[in-house]
Formats: sequence, structure tokens, C-alpha cells
Amino acid sequence: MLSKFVRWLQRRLFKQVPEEPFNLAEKATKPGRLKISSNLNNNLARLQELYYRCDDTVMRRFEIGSGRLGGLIVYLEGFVDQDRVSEIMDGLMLLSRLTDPQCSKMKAEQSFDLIVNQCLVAGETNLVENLQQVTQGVFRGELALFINGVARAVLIDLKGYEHRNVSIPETEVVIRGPREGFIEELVTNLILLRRRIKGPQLKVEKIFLGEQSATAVAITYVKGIADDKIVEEVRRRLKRIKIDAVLDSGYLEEYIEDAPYSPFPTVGNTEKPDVVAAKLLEGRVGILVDGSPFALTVPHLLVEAFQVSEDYYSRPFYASMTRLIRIVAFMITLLLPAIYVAVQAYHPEMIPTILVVRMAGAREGIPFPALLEAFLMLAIYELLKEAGLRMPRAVGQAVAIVGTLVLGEAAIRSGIVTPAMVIVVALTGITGFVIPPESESIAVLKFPLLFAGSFLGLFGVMLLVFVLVAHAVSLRSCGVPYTSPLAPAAYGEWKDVFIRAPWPLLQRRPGVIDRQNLRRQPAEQTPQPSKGKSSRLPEKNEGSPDEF
Amino acid sequence: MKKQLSLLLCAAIILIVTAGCWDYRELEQRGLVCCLGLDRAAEPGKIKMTVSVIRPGEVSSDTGAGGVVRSKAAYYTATGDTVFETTRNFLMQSSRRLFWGHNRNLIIGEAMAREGVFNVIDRFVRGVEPRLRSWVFVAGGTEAKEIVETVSKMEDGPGAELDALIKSSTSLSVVPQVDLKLFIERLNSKTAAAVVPRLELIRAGEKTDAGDYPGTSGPAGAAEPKRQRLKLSGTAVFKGDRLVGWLNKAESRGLLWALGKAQSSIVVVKCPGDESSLASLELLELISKIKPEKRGNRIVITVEVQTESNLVEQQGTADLATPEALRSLERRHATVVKNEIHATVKKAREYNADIFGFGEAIERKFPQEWKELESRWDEAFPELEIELKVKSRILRVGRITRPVGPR
Repeated sequence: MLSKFVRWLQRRLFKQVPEEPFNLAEKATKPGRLKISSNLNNNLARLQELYYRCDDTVMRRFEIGSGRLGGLIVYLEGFVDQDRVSEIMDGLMLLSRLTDPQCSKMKAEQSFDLIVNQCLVAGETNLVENLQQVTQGVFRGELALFINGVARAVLIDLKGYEHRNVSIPETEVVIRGPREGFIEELVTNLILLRRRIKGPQLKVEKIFLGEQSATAVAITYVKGIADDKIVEEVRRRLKRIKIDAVLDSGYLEEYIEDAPYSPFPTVGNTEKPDVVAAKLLEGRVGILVDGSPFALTVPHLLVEAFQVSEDYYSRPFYASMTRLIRIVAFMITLLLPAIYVAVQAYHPEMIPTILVVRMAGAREGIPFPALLEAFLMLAIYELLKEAGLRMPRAVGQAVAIVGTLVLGEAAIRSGIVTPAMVIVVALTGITGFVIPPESESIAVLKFPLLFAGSFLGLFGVMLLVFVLVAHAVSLRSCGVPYTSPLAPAAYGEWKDVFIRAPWPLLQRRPGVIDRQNLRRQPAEQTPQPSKGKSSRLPEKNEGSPDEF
Repeated sequence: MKKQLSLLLCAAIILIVTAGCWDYRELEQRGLVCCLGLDRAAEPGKIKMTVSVIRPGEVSSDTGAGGVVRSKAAYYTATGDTVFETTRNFLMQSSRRLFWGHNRNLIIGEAMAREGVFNVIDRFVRGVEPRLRSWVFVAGGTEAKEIVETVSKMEDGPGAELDALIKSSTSLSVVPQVDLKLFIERLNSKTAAAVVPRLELIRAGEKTDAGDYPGTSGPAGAAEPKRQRLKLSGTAVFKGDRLVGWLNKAESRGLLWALGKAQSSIVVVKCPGDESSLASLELLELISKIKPEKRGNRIVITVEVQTESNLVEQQGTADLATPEALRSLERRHATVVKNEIHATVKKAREYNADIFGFGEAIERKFPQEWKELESRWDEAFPELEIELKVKSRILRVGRITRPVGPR
């Protein structure tokens, strides 16, 4: 009976979409592997057909070297640097060398090589033989040059388009530490990273993902520090992805995650190049996606939620304290509503007498049970948060005022909620922001915990916490246990978990991620008083004669 | 994975729908008991219970609004055959189910105490809600009901006042502090007798012992309505589960001296060299040992008491800061302690109640002899030889060495 029901439920819940052969390439109007014709007119006609109604493509025929050769350039308006295009055109059209008698006897092929090798003032050129490659290049901001009589084309990288400047990231604000944040442009982002780790040991592997978007994705790691197995794993996972488009790194996150159904994130993200650099130096792999200011890092462990870049820039005592506060905040935001409701409904003996009397007095005349009260307030809080995030700046103040009324004094006065509940929800809300990497999972998890607490009391809270812990322990991120170094315990690494030990003591990289190049820096680097005589204080008895 | 998930989902639904929240009770649906009185009912064999239930609304609302001050607790009385039945009988008077988790005072009426408490105490140990840390009192001369009523009318936090009263008694040490756990431990013992502080009701206008309860006129003076007050006065001595008699203030302190339970206490002695004036000595440290010894075939109990005190006050002008005077003060202090313990021992023999736990001390030291002694402990205890050794020391004399006055 039950198994039948379960099967029915499975069918209902997980109705499979019949697998379709994944064939976006054919659907899209791609030119296929079309050879470039040696006849320029054929190519032009072909391209015009391909770029039908792509009015932002520019196809211009011109003559090279006083009409000796017919040329064609193709590019996307606004995607290439217009000044550079004119420069190149300038050079080609007025190309005097081709008018030389010596050159005039050259065949088209030879002229083409001459042009490519000697006349194109550009960094990256690429010779291609079919129109598909041409199209790919053109739509990535390259300029294609065809010459009549040559069955090849050259792609010249002239990318130049508008993008945002590097600015302070809004999600990860620091008081002390670098302020630079990634932008939407991959090249700039890679430079931000390169500036922090210098040398060829920082590897950048580019692949293009997305049938429609063909987004450039860069896998970055430090050779010699990152575990090759992890790098290979990331490479494999990324290359496997067949996706329509990659509009943000979030798209990839869900494809490379170890446990997409888990509330815990197993892929980290950050907007700060210094954070990525630090993670790469711990042996992690960074994934930068063109068009997204958020870089992904794997493996991502639970403890990373409590490690903030500023911990490593400010002094260790303060950093350790704030880290402990973050852990406490994590507990509060996750458990406080659940424990509050559980204790007051099942275990009032746990509350000090005077407080319990106050709470009972406040609850008198409240129409809803504490569970509903808590649920309502939490839901309203989430709603306000969402509204505050989405609304245009101009109406922000209005929402803020209404929000304070709803979640504050007015709600208490109208007898809908108790003051204690407002405090609980407000605390939960505030502490939820202390640990941004886990804030999403917390926002989701606190509701089940609340229900567990109100259905089964503290026993229920404990049960669910147990389930969550068991789940977290079972997770892996790219082969690394998610809860390490807590479980499996690596006590040596705890000096960067609950506290942040001074830098001279953090001599080893996290061993769970990086097994080959553990030593970060040599020991014994703290300044010591010199063993010999101090050089700064004049010696009374042993003054050398030179001093006099 | 999918199968697991759906199973989990089913389990959660079944769990919540069938098992969840059967015990869920909002705070405002609970009657928070802050004080409990146990009496014999008029009908024979029945129990009368009086509870003081906090009115949370009155406590948390801003007082003084409208000028009407309602008392912060309500009291209810119910009768029944057993304690548990009686607690449920309260539901006929109040919709709120009584909650015992915050009860801090258990008051046993004198009549009930004399009849025996075994029949009523079980529920308070067996049940999960009542706390073993709640204080136990015996209502002296009245029914517990009257005391609970008085407690209910108290202004600052009903129940809390009684709690504070017994807690602050540590700085006087004239009554033992007994919580339910200690009471039960003594009741469980075959030989040791339980002691419980005696709670007395002072009716308004009634004469009290001079100086014992100063300030019966509060800040509002005579205009204040006549109110009843509570007072800790002495100790109730149990034999088995029955109340057999009382110890007065000095005898109660004698008990605490012997047990080493006095934390701070004031001993008043005459000043050496000026017998007409008095000096106060404040106890700082007390170490007591009860040592059974074998002398021949007799067992003698030696009670060793060491005290350390400060001279905190003196009357008159005699110079007490001399070594001789201090030695003399120490001797006088020791005499007071000795006399008080003697008085207690005398009372204990009279009631034949081993309130000191001598029997247990012998059992620990001489288990073989105890086997023989245990069966005839009731006869042996009053005959037991008890030796007292009291050493008193005075450590400091305060900020001045010479008394105030012209030299």
C-alpha cells in the first residue's frame, strides 16, 4: 500500500521529461563547415545570406593597393575598436608595397601572406578556412579580412567595446583591504588576478560554453599548488556542460555543483580578485566567466562561510573575535526562532521566571499561536528584504518606513505580535547578513527548523539539526569533504577556523585541498630581539676609536 | 535519491500530521504556579491544595494605570483524594492548566506535617514538571492556605519574595535552607531526620517579637492598608515523615554550626573589660566536622567547629584591639557557639530525631558496628555521647583599632 503510494508520489513529483537529442547546433542558423571560396563575390553573397537581418554587421568591399586586389572586411559595429579598423583600412588601401613592380607579379595567395605577415598592425591574427570560424570570430569582436582569389580569411582581434570600470564590489564590503572588484569583462578580470599572482605558474584555461552565448570561461589555478586531480575534475565537469547560454557564473555553478539538491552551497563565489587569489594560493580552482563579476571557486567548504578576506588583513585578535561572532550569528539566525517557539510552547521551565511571566503577559490577547506569529513575521521580513532589493531607489524610503511599522511598534500595539517575537525576528534578520555565503541556505533552512521546533519542541530542533549535520558531513566538494577540517578533524588547521592565527603561524596551506605544496612560508619569521649587542644603543665601554 | 527523498517527505508528512504538537501549549494557556500550600481538608483523608498562580497580564502591564493596583497573583483552593487528582481539580476553577516548572515554594501546613508527608510528597518528585530546587517550608501555627494567600497578595513578584527571603537568610543563618531535593534525601534516610524552616504568619496589628521584624510600617506608614507578612522563625523537626517539634532561633543556629551550614552570622557577646556593653562578631568562615570515635566499646561523636570572625561593632569604650581582649572575645564567641549546639543537641534528644546525621557519620566510619546499632538507633541516639570542640578566631577589627570616643 505504502510502496504503491510512494511510487505514485515519485511519478508525480519527478515526472521525467523525455530526453531529446541535444542538437541546438542544427536548430541555430549556423553556416556549417563552409569552405571559404576564393571568389570574393561568392563569399560576400554567402555572408550576406548568413547575416540576413543582422544589420549591425558591417561588410565593406574595398580595393587594396590601387585596385590590384579586391578585399572585404566584415565586423560587428561597436564590438571592435573603430579607430583601429580605420588604421588597418588605411594601411591596406594605401598599401604602396603591393604596387611595387616586384609585388605586382605576385599571386593573390602570396599577397595575402604578405599582408598578414607584414601589413597588419594588430596583436592577434588568426587564419581560418571556413565561414563558420569567420562567423565565430566576427561575433566575438574580431575583424575578418577576405582577399579576392584566396580561399582563406584572416581574423584580426580588434575587440573594443564599452564596459564598466573596475569599482568597489557591493556585496563584499571591507574596511581594510583591496577595494577592487571584478567587472563583467573577462580580460580585465584576468588581469586583476594576474596582478596578484605573477608568473606563468598561474594558469588560465579558456573554454567557450553555451551554444547560443559562446561565453568565454576561464579556469584558473596555480600550477604546483592546486591538486591536478581537482583541476582535471573541474575541467571535466565544465567541458561536459551543454547549455543554451551562460549569462552569469550562477548558471555554471549548478552544473558543476556536487550536490545541487543540498541547501549548502558546494561552490563558492566572490566578487573580489584578492579573495580569488588567496583561494588559488590555497590550492583551489577559480572559474571566471565572461559577463559575470562573480568568480566561482572550488572546492568550497563550510568553514569558508566564516572566513572573510578582512580577517586576513586585520590584526589576529580582532579577526578571531569577529570570526567567533560570525559563528554565533550563524547559530542565532538559524536556530533562534525555532528555539524561541519550542521553548515557550514546550519548555517554559527553561526560561527564567521573571522573563516567562513577562512573556506570558505579552502573549495575552495575541490571536495567533506563537508558531504562526513567528512564521508571519519571518515571512514578512523576507518579503520586505526582497522588496527592498528590487524596488527602485527612489521609493526605497517609503518601503523602509512601512517596513519598520509592519515589523515594529505598530505591529505590537495592534496586538498582532509580541515584542519578544519582534526582537527574535529582528535578531534573526540582522544576524542573517553576517555570513553572506550561507545566507541563502539559512533563509531557506530556518523555516523547516521553526516547524520542527513547534511540532516537536527542542527534540524536533535537535532532530533536524542532527539531520542537517549528517547531511553536511556527507557532502563533498570536488572530492574534498565539505565539513573538513572540522570533520574529518584536522586539528592543525583549526587555527584558521574558529580563530585566525597570526600570519607567521599559518605556515601551511589547508592540507585537505592541497597535498603537494603544503609549506606556505618558512617558520620563525617574527622579529626577535637580536642576540648580540644592540646596534642602536651606543656602548659605553667598547666605543671604537673611529667614533671619536 | 528520488526514492529516498520521497520517503523522507512521506515520513515528514506522517510525522507532523499524526504525531506533532500534542503537547504544544501556548504560554498564556498555562497557569504559572509560584507557590503551593498543602493542607489536610476538613473531610478526613482528603487533601487541600492552595496554589498561587501568577497573573502575567498584571505583572507586565505598567502599574499604576487607573490607580487600581490588582494583586499580581490569584490563589485557588481545591480538594481531592490524591495530589494529582487535586491538581486536575483546579481546572474546574481556572481554564489554565497549572504549570509547576516555575514553582519555587512548597509550603506544608502544620496539621498535615504532623500527620506525615509521605502521602503527598511523592507526586512532586515523580512528576517531570515540579522542580527539586523549590524550597520547602512548614507553616507554623497556621494552615499553608493562609500563607499562600498572603504570598499571592505580595506586591513585588509573588513567590519571588519568599524565594528572596530564604536566600537572604544566609547572611543571618538562623534557619536551614531546605529544598525539595534535600528534604527527600533526609526522608529517604533510615535514621537521619529532616528539618525544614518554619514559616510564620504575622497578622497586621499583631505584636511581634521586639526587633525581629522592624519596619512593619512601610514607607506609606499608617495610611497603608493592614497587611499580613511572613516571617522565617525557627525550624521544624521531622521524625520519619512526621513533624515532631520545633527549634527556636538559637537552636536552629546551633544545628547550622554543627553541620557547617552557617555562611554568615552575627554573634553578639559582652565586651571583655566592660561587661555592660556589647560587641558584634560577624562570621566569615566555618569549618565543622562530625567525627565518630571508638572509645572502648562505646562510640563517641566529636563535633569539631572552627570559626573565623571579624569584630564589626562594639559598644562602650573598652579597647578591644589588644591581644588579650581578642583572646577573650574568641573564648566568648566559642562559648556562644558551644551553648547553642548544646541546646540543639538537647532538643534533638528530646525529639529523638537525628537531625545532625550522626547515624550516617557512624555508618561511614564504622560500618560493622553500625549494623548492630542501626536496629536500636531510636534507643541509642538519645544516649549517644557527644563531645564538642569549638575553636573561634577573630581575624580583623575593622577600619579603626580604638573605639569611637575621647581618649
